[in-house]
Amino acid sequence: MAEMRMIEAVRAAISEEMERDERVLVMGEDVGRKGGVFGATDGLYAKFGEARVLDTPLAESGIVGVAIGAALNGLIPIAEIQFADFIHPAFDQIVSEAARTRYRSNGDWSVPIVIRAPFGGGVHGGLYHSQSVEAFYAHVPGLKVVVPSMPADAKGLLKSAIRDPDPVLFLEHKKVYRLVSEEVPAGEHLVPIGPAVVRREGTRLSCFAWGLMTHYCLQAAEQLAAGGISVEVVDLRCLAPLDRETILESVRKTGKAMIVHEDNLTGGFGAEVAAIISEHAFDSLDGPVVRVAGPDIPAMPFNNPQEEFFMPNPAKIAEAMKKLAAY
Amino acid sequence: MPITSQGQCQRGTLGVLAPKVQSTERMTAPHTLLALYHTMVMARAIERRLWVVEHTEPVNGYLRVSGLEAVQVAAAAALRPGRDWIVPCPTDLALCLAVGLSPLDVMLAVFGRADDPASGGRQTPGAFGSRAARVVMTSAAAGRHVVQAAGIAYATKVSGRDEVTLVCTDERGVQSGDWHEGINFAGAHALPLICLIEDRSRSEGPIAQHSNGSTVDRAEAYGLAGETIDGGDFDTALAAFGRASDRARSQGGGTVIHALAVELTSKAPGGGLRPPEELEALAGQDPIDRMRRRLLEAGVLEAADDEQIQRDCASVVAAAVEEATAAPSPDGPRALDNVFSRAQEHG
Repeated sequence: MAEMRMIEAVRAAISEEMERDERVLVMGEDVGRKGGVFGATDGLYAKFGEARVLDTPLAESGIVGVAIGAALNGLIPIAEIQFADFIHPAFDQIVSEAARTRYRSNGDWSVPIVIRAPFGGGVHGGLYHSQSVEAFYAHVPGLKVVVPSMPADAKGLLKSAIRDPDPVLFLEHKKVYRLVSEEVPAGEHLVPIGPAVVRREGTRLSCFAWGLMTHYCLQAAEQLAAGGISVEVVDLRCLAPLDRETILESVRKTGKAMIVHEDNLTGGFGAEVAAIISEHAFDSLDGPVVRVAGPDIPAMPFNNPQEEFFMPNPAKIAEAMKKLAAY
Repeated sequence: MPITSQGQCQRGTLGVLAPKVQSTERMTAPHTLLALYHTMVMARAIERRLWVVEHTEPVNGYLRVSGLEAVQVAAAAALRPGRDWIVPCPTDLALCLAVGLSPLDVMLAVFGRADDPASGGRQTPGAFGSRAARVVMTSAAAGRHVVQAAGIAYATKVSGRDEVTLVCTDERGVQSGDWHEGINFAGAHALPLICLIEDRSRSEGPIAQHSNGSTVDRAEAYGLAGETIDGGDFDTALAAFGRASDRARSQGGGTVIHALAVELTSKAPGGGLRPPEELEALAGQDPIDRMRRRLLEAGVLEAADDEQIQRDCASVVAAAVEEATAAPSPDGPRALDNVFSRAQEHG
């Protein structure tokens, strides 16, 4: 066990898997000599060499396309997209190619790649360094989407993703990289892709979140606990596959449901969670399914007042929790 | 060797030959040339038959492949099937026949049958692929596979294996961003990659989609060798692929081969040949006619043998249509299969 922040847990997972399996390599813009803009691959270039820690051109479709080809020929690439905001040129390679290769070949071919991408706002990144892209990709059968919120999960889920036989999009909230630290198991620590985790037990309402919003929901739940309102916080961790059972079990216990994400409201992944609850736990509901999300504007502004306006935060979430609890 | 039995055709020209080491001498041996010519004729027979099938059966089988047969079998001849990688585009029928695809495989795909070995009837016809044969199944998006081919070649390089990757595209694929990203990556890492551009646009006049410079100029700017060839001439193409594969195998980097070919078929719905006056202008340029003349002049092929080859190919294709027609379709709910692996980890 060692105390780690999420950025260090990500680095440990990659390093350990590269030591374990020589087929694993990392590739992306500045992942080599620089060690990544956030330092996720710091030290790996010196440890594993240029061929396995590959600096690529600034061309996201090319990064993912090369990773797909390398996987077809036996390697296990971890492709880093420097910011999720820049993943869009690779959408076709991820969605039409990686996610469909097994299906279109009826199981003959597979693409075991991991695409890592820092995402999310609250860091004054403006329109092009703040985006949340999970809803685009969680819609795609054939692709797994993982969004850890804690360091130990980040390590365990990333190691599982690297060993997964199918493509995995691994979204790391950039504000969480250095937000919290915790004890992270050394060595063979694997967290299965799929199951959600209840971060805080509660009885009055269920709150579902991922990434940074998990932390904000926990803070809001703490505030409500002082007023005698017990909130259950569920960290989904994986959006595809989605742990429907844990979601429904929680709602059946509390009777009320809230989904929190910083992606904008309309068509966000919260809508899918709300639909599942409405369809399968309708009889248990004692109030409307509520979503707390970013507003429906094109992206997060750079200036402070408008960034704060965009981002859900513990105060906004706590207010929504109180309102739902009182319904 | 006899080259007209259905069984041999179904295993593919070079699958029958199964050479451990390719060489120009071996690939120009009489029996090899006959086998490759047979493959060219078979590809043409399949295309022609599909024109008929599409009008009589509820299938979508139109493959516009005429004119590319010579350059495709030459490419196959320069590779080692099962060892080198092929990343084809939907017009690479003769190439895929040469490395193992059978006429029955084609028809099973055309009819969307469960036994279609490439995709179980999921992909539209023309998306050939086989992991065992190292023929990569690609999508319908032009150019996307070029950057993937660069990734295949990168894996070859870092693994230190002796493999060459051939990726094919038509002239439109060259305009895609992924072609440029893939060729740039291949040049930057001197990868063992051959990119074949099967260009039939000259038959219809050039399309002004870039301001200046040939495809070869652009390839060379990215650090690859490049040459423009007469894609209708087998010997010219075989020599070019020989140079390119030698370069790739000796760590000399990649090559773009820009093959100019003729377009013999109409782009009108339902296919068919181009109008007679247009075909007349292309007289003597049909690659199968050119290969036939070459073999007749060299004494490798007799006229009677040629007639037999034509009849046998038509017969094999007709039998394949009959068998595919009778083959079962996949069950509807099996559409849920193979979204993800059932295994927890890859091997």
